[in-house]
Amino acid sequence: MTEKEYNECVTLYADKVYRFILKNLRQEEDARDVVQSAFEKLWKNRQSVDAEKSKSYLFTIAYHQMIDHLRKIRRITLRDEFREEARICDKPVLQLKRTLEEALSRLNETQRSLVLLKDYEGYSYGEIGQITGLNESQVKVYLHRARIQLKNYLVSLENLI
Amino acid sequence: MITRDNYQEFFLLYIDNELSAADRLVVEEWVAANPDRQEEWESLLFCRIAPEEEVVFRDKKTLLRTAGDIEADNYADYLDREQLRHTVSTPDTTIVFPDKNSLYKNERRRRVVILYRLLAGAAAVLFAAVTLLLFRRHPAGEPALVKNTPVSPARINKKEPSPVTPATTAALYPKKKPLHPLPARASRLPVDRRLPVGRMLPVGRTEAGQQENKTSDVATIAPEHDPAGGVKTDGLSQAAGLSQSAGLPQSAGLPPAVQQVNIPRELSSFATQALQEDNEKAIATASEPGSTGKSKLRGLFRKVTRTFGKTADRDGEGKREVLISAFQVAVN
Repeated sequence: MTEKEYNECVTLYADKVYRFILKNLRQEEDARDVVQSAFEKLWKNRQSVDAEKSKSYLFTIAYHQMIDHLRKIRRITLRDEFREEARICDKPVLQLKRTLEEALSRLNETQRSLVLLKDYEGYSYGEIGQITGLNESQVKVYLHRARIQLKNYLVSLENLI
Repeated sequence: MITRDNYQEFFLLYIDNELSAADRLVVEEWVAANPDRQEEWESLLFCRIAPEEEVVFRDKKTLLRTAGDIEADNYADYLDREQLRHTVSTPDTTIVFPDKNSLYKNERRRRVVILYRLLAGAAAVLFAAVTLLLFRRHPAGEPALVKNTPVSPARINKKEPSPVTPATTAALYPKKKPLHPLPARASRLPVDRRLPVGRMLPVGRTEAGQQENKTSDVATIAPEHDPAGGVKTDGLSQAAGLSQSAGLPQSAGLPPAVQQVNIPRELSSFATQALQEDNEKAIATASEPGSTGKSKLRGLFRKVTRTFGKTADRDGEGKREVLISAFQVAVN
């Protein structure tokens, strides 16, 4: 990867990586730190990184740094399922988007990352597997579970309303 | 083939955009044919999350790089070596600690000084105690100690025995009641047999027991009368080169005079030592009232001896050590 190709990566992928990390961390400064670290690592390893795979390389680096960051600060409680006591009926749900964000925040970090990588960037199961270190079947299963959990959350909310 | 048993997986693959265009069309037709699954189908479609385009990374320029940037691996190429050399500080050797002598320590010298102080203090206390006891023991007018001057053998050999007259004997030996009068059987014996040859008495103590003596390391020997009129010493005294005592009166008309000679106890014969011990016991018994001070003095000496002066090789390294009470102090 040349200097020009690296800077093109910044122009093309910085926002995408930042959104992906921000959706997971929900902390702007932390997300910025992770993105800067990811690009710093890309610059150091630019000689060994192919320009065509730079996007996947960036997301991979950013994803793992995000996981390390989450484990360090423990700001997000990892959950496999929605909590039964989760009651948001008393909250004014004005937009489906906000409801969906709420549902997304209740996923664990792996499920959330899979959903975001799929919906935001449109990665295939195989590509997501490369980024996250999972195999394709695992990505498919985890992602489908996450979808069903999101749907159940939305359905339960509609029933309450 | 999509059925009511596997439709959910097709729905998810459709949402994940993992189906081909033909399969997507099949799914849409199946949903249309099954309106009871329409609601579930729509719910899954809502679960797709659209990217938020308004969220951007600010200060994107901070991520841009140029090949000429200073990095961690090439920063040394951009340093001006000469200017960098000026930033190195050198110590000012003119700044010194003003009172360095106060920081020096010598642990060994301090220990020796402490030992000398202890010994000097102990000696002072000992001297004071001895002086006090001795002057308290003897009343005024009497000598504190019976002076016992050692007599050298040469002097004894050279000096001729001075003639002893009754006057001088009476002057020197005033008659007093003897502390231990000789038994009647002993008094009937010839004069020269009343005291056996070589019998030792305390210094100044004659046969009549007219004087007391406080020392025991000096033997008083009754000499035999020489037929020629002189005083003949016993064989033991002759062998020791002590034929005559010096400065003691002798008289042919008196009971055999007692000569005072200095014979160390170690050099005496067993018989002499036995006699000397008998005399010591007799003196101790006779001087019961006055023996308190002596026993005190002896006890004091014993205590001092136990307390100080014991030097021994306490360890295997041959270091000399002085034992002061229960404390062991190294001398060097």
